[in-house]
Amino acid sequence: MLKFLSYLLNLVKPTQFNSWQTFNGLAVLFFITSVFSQGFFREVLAYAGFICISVGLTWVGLEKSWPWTPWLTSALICLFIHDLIKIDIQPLLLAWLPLAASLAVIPYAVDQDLHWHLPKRESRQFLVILFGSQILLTCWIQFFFILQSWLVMYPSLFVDDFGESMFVRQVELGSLVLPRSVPLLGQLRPAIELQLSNQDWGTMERWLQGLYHTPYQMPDFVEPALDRAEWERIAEDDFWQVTAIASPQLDPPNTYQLRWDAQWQGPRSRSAAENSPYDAYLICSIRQQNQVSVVDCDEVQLVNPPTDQKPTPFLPMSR
Amino acid sequence: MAEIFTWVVIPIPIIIFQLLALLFSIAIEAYIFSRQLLLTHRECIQYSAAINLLSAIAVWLFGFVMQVFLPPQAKLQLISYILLGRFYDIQNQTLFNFVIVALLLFLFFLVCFVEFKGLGFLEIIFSQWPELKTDEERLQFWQRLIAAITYTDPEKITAIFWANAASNSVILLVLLIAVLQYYA
Repeated sequence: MLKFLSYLLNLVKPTQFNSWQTFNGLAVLFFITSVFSQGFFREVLAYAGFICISVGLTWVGLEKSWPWTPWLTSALICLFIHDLIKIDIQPLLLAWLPLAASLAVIPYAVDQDLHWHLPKRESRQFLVILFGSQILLTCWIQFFFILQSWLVMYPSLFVDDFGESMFVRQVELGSLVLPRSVPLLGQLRPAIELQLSNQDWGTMERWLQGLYHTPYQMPDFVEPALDRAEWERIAEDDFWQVTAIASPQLDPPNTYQLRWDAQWQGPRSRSAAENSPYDAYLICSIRQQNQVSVVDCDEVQLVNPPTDQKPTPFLPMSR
Repeated sequence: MAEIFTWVVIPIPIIIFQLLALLFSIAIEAYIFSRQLLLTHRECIQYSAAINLLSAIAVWLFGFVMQVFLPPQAKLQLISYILLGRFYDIQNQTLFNFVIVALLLFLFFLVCFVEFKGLGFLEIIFSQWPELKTDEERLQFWQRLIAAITYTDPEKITAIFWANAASNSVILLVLLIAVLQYYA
């Protein structure tokens, strides 16, 4: 413990005034004082500490000639800007590598007396390739962000299997992702229960008998219901087809089952064409009580719930 | 922003593929330059690496710009192909094939053009620069820059064309072997 403390002290203790240890020590001092101060003063002290630690770390890198010093400094500058003006992380991640390459030029282009000159011929060739590689890496980062923006437009695609893609693989962080059919039918459920309840039983029966054999699309029912539920519209909504089909139940008599299906009509992989991980259904039973109808709906369920993964807390498996 | 990072899709396969393709094309194009242009071996590798990086960046930038301006139907096809590996519900197969072939040809010529102009600029960048103290020297330098933009050296452009054709053929051949292995 003591040894470790003395090691830390050596790391911070300046050997001479004009050295990186001064800056690191100052940074520690600023951070400690900022913890004990309040409000505006605290932020100023924290920023001062951050600047000191950036200068200190860059100085260490230059003194020990770590090859990755420009990347470290560039990352620290980007972090500082991120904290200072609360800018989005995407442009900063994109700026990080080109900025590092620009910083890497400085030792080749500035001489001892801080005069700018052109890099030498041999180092120019190296620098061109350095810049090219950093910008190519930036292109990959940008491609990552574009993929994410596509998945914000079509979030349900994430339940599909990307194994056939030549470009991407999916990584699951944390909870299992549900296709949007589940919240879609979940939003429709109160509307169904409200609109089909307390209707005249004779009209209700005739309407249900009209829905017997084939699934019917009901845009004039679904669209207003979604509007009322303030359903957030995104690009993939065009691919969700909601249908309903009714069937008579024998036990108990004089009840009907109304099954609502949300089916994905959009692009899907070959394996998804077989096991349809997108689709979900909702089963409502409609019965008669005092000449009016009463509707009870179950929870929304996936047609093919994922089996090998752990069950989600969102879906109580009632059947 | 937090919502985006709960699901992550990482472009690892295309990164590995691009690295391998770059290795192949840098080696092949350097070999062809060493035979057709009067350059040393070291210079060949450096020029070839630099212009291949440049053309890879140009293709990416073209893709980024294109995906913004694509009509929604075509963009959906692009998303479907990139994420799921297959196109979605193509109505007009002939037109579709025509568009794909035209796009690939356009990309090939874009790469050739970028590499050709890149080579011109790299020659200026890598050469001994004048001091740029007097007006005359500045004028000469500008003339060289303008010449690099406008002048077309037939020998260089054929070298680049054949180098690209060879490297792309080899990459296609490797892909074909990989695909055949996959189906066998």
